[in-house]
Amino acid sequence: MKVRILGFEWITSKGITVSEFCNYLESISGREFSKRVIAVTKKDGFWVGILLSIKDMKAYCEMRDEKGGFSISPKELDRSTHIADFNFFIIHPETGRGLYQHYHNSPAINTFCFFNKQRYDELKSKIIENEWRGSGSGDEEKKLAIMKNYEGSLRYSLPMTEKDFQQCVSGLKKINHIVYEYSYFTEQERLFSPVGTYAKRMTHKVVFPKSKKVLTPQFLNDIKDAITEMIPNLKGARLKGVDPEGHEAVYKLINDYDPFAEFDYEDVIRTVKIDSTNLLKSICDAYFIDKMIEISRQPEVKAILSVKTK
Amino acid sequence: MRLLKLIIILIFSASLWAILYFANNHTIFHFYADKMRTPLFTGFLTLGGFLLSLKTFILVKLKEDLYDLPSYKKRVLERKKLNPNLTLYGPLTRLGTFLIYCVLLSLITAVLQFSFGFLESDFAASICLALSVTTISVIFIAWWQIRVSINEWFLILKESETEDAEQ
Repeated sequence: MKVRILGFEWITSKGITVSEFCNYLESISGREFSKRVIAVTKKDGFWVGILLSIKDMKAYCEMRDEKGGFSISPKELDRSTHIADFNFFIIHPETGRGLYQHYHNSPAINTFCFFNKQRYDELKSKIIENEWRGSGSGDEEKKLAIMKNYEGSLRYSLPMTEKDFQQCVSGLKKINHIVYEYSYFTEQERLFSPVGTYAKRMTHKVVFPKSKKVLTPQFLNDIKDAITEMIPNLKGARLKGVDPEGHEAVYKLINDYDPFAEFDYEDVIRTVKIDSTNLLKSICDAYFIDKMIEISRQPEVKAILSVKTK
Repeated sequence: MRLLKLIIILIFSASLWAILYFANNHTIFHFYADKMRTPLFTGFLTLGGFLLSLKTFILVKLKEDLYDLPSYKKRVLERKKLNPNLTLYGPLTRLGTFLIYCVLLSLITAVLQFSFGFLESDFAASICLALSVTTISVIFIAWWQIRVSINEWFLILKESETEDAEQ
């Protein structure tokens, strides 16, 4: 089994920066949310962390090869033992772009981002509540005015390669829109002026109707086919839809390069050692976090993670 | 570059069409000969000479103080990972060429006022006036581009100042 390094991008709403959100995640490190535990800390200029997912099952099946065939037998787990999935990640504090380590059957990057979107909304509610109480006014209008300052939620997208993008498109239950990006992560040389602080992006947005009458399964398949056909001609694309689990999914295609790495699961799992009593230190010392920071320093990956866009 | 050429041709054609539209029985020629020819000649001759001397200064200053800045070179090197065709001095070279054309256009406009401009015809007067409008527009574009470069230079200086303060 392969462990793959995928990319993601968080775009925070008004009033809350990526660093403020990561500070909040650090403060809730180790707390359990629906059988998931997140822990975040700072290391080498990045926010680094782990998402632990605890599985409910108390037994699993073991397949043993035997002469001329195989046998399957159940294996019971101890009362105090659980099966857990681990997903390390790192986030660039300024751009909100990061790397996520994923292997088959562990939470998909979309699930990871959705989990964080829920935490983000919690933080937003807390900030609004504190500001409202701090103002000393019980006026609902005042609360609405404060809420306006924090409008929106955590948006996320997943930069991915052509192959992954095609797989994701074919698995979508619904497609809301696709945005073609002609110059995403690309610096076009200007005619007379120097290279600017920000890279520009030009986009074309195609929105599909939400009505079930129009968006029939046949029409959805036609859209998927058309998108799959278009992919080789696109430099980049951003697609919003609903994944098979019913979560909102945003995928981002990068055709220019494949910056992400792959490892053998067995090699990775041998290096994992997490101690709940000293969770943040365990993450800082984790071999795989060092590996991900090393990947983030590769020139192509560094350019993706650190380039500022408006 | 093609778009820029198209814009310049468009400005020239539009102004020529607009002036010719109002031409009626040598009215444009008389207005041009009495009021515009001499000021346009002296104006564009001065502007051409001024631009010629200023051009080298602008380019040298931009090269030394912006394009040769280590932080700018680092930025270009980083962006080259996204677009390998990016060049360090490309925009400056093109700006230099553009300024040369600005000077040339100013001098041509000045010379035209005292050669072609003497033909007693509305069309000749319109050509001279339209070229004046075009040259002024081109110089405005050049001024705008220099402004963008200077703004970028100040932004880099500001960034370096912030970085120094943080260290």
